[in-house]
Amino acid sequence: MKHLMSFHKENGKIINKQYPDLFDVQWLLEESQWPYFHLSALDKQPFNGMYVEAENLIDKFHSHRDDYGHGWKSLTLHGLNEDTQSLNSYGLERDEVLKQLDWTWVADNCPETKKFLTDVWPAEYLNRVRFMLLEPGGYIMPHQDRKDEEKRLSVCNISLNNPEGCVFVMKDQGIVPFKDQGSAFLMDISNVHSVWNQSDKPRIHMIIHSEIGRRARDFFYILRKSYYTNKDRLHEGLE
Amino acid sequence: MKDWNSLSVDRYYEDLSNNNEVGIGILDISRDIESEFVSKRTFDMTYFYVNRMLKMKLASYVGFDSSVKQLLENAIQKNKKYCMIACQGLLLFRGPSLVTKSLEYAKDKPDFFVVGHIMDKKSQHHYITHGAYPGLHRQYLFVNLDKWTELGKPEFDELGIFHDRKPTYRNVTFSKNTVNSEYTPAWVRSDTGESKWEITSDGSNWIDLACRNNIQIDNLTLDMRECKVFLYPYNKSKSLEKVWLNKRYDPIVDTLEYNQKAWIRKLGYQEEIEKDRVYAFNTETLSAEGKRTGTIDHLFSAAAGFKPLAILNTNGFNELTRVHYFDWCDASLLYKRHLLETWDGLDLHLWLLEHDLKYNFSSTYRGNYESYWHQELNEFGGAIAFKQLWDRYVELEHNFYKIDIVNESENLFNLIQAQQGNKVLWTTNIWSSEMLHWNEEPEQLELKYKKFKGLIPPDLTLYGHDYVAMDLNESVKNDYTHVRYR
Repeated sequence: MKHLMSFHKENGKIINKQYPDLFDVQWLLEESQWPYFHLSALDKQPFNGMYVEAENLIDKFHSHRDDYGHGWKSLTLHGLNEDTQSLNSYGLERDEVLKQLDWTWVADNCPETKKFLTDVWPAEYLNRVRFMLLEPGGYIMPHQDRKDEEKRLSVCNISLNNPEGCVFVMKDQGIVPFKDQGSAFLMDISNVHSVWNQSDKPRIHMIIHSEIGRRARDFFYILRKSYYTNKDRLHEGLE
Repeated sequence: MKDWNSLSVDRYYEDLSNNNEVGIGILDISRDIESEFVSKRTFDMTYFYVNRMLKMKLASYVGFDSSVKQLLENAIQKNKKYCMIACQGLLLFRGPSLVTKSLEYAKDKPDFFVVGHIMDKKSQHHYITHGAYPGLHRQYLFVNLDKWTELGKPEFDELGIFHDRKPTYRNVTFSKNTVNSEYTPAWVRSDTGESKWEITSDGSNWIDLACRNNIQIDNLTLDMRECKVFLYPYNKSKSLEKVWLNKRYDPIVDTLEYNQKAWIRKLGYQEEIEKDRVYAFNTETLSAEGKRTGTIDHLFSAAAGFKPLAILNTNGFNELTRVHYFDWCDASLLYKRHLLETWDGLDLHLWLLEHDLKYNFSSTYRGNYESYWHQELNEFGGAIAFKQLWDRYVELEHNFYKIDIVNESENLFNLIQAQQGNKVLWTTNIWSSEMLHWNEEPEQLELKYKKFKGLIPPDLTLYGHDYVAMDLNESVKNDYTHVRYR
């Protein structure tokens, strides 16, 4: 707990990035070294409805990574089953695992969320998609999911809610400004990060691993629109 | 002899096949265009040029859609054999010629699948798709619908980026000769074997499919390429927005992409010279509309070419007939007066050459006066017939008025209302001219045209075109409107 407290104390501040005048997709994703990027083009998506769908299944969640978390749970919408782990952990060729990926019963019970994933989320293929629950008082100890040399924005983390008192921080990068009303961020998970829910409400996010495929232009559109929106908001002091 | 600047005309085109076998769809790429203004206006202008082909019954419009497949399906629904896909921002300024050339190609190679801009991505240093499987640039495609159907009506895939699920595509070989750049081969066909690709291009799946079916895909010929220009509206679109109207003086023009810069500069130059442009000949057919009334008492006419004379000749006039010339440009009115006062009706080409430096004649016929003059004489029945007509005409009372009929239509109609008798108005293609449509949205033009139309008295006989290039005579009877962006 001491380590968790000091990590959050040291990194618990918002650090805004300077936006270059012109959007460059390759720079943003692979060269900027930005720790996260707010997909503000998705701000108006029905995240609250998705939250309600997830909350209705709250007793179905499975404990996740007890080794460095407490009160951290997951429920898989798209994967091998409702409790899908890292796709590389099954001892099978990756292609074999990918072929078996499908919607789980969870998605069938969450139509609004499924609609977002099929109609809005800009990727041709979904890999593992999970609701991630952090119970009141729960925490995830500082860790990194990717090596330092694999710096890039990739996985998407969407706050379906983010109650006051629940904070996601990255080492040397500060707080990721998730919004309680819902917000989507691309994350560079090579940064050491930690979450601590010091509120009295469950916090539910959704993590999407996907492959862009032939929807690259849809993805670029969301990035570009978000980029200029974020830039304007920063300029206006709103971000 | 052709005049490519006019929308509504057919006078100087070659005899064109009008089997109307071609559907034309506009590909919606607005998602990729940052500037909403540029997105809207590039659609407007792409349709503007498409409209010329529709007017000439060379093709039918099949819609505006972000899916190539949907546009092709629409063309099939309209019983078309071929479909031309024009991306918004593609300016088909020689579209009729492109249709003709494409149909000639189809006749030579009836089993073709698609003609398009083949992109050899190993040679093109594009920052995302360098080294990708080749593709077809989405700006323009000419598709054989029977072959597309035979191949299973494939979607036209957009560029793709893959990590786990790399598609396997047939290896290809390119022609050694290229069309325009080192990355635009004249053709692509199948090679042995296949490979997995991390990055694919727009239309890669069509190339793969063609290869699997032993179909060679040909690039556009240079002749075809020269019929159009693509504005790449997704590049520097905010800058393009800034110079759309401010074409000539804004330093931003210098920062544009090559095609954008070249086109904007061309228009800027054109706009400057149109301020005192004089039309000695008409781009419209002289009397194709035929007789629309009896003896004319008052002809209200744009100050351009010999069309007014043809209208008088076709409908009839007498010594009391009065001609009222209007134009927004002083030079056109001065030219008309000068011609009336000093020309004897013979050998116009010599008169034009003598006064060549005084007037800014259209470059279409500058230097070709004699051939245009002979063409004119043919249409009037020869030199003697013309001379006789001119001698009668020159004796009429002529009046000259500087009026911009688009923005000051009430001034024109005040003049018209002040006269009694059988009245005829000819507005030429003022309402449907390229520069007007570049500078004003069709929605604005429609408002102005409606005002103009509302002022037309019921007894006025009409020649000319409305803002969608429809014959004015038809336009007043029916409510034509333009194709909407959304």
